[in-house]
Amino acid sequence: MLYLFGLAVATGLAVAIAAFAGSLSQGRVASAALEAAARQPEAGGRLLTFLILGLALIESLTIYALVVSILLSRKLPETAEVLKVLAR
Amino acid sequence: MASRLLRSALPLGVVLATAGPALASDGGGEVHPTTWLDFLARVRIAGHPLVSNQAALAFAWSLVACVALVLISVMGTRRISLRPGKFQLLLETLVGAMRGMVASVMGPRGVEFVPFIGALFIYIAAMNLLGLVPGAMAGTANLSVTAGLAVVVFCVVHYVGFRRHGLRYLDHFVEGVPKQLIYLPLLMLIFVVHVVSELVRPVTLALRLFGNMFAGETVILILIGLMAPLYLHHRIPIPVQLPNMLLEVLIAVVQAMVFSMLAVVYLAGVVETSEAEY
Repeated sequence: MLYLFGLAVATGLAVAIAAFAGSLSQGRVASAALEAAARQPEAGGRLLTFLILGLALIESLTIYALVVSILLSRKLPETAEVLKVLAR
Repeated sequence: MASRLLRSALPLGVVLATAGPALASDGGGEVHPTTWLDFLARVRIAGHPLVSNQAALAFAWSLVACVALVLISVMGTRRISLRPGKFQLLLETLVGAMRGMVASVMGPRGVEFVPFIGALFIYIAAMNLLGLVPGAMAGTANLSVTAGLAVVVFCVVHYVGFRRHGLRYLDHFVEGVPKQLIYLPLLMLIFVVHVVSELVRPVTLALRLFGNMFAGETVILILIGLMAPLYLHHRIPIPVQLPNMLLEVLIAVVQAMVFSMLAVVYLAGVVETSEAEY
């Protein structure tokens, strides 16, 4: 039962923690890009490319956590079965 | 002439190479999703079904993306002229954007890689966008297809490295350490570390693209599932998934760009020479 508890908690927390850290770093990237664009508006186009590239690369780490969460959630049993086992 | 034939066969090679992992792996059961091409699972050739698992279905949808791209190219170059019409102008803009992307990282030496990178980008973007069509499936939503693409990039990068530098390409793996016998343990360690980091690159490439596309379609499915009881019981259709599909369009193009941009960066890292070229 502890195993299932750990599995369920890990399935939920994986993406939560990854999204927390990812959003912090994406915020820093976006703010740096905004500052640079405000300083030099004519470089805005190239900055947009770097911004999107940086954001996508950081986002991919959160996506890895999502993939792990999906892999873990496949191992979780149905609630009805767990309730039946608990009722015995 | 031979090099031109080779270069135009390269995109086809990219496509066919992605078939490797898709057809070799046990891609999971043929249960979901429900797409237009599901009937291929019932078509049998010499007793074997044409599409036996999920990965083969994803590969079939990637072929659909190929056919669509071929049709677009043929339509665009039918009356090719020095005064381009609107469609030809659109295609030329696309090619120019590809050249700009490669040149921004590799400089003028990168011109020979533009067909490969351009094919990669257009192919991945087409596959990703095809997933948003109702009843169609994104080829890249299956790890086998993205693994095939990553393997292709890996092979091309190292092949180019060995072509350019011969066996001295291995020197680039042990950079930073003086090449003397007394440093042999350090050399071996650095070599192993570098090999591992090179092997991880296709894994991250594949996982990134697969994760983004699969997560996107999963979110759309969940949103549809949220509104499904409302429609089934009360006949009120509220398409909550539409804003998310707009985001998916952006993500489709951005992930294609990220994949091909990373391929350019890896190629640039391999093509560099030690002498100054200015």
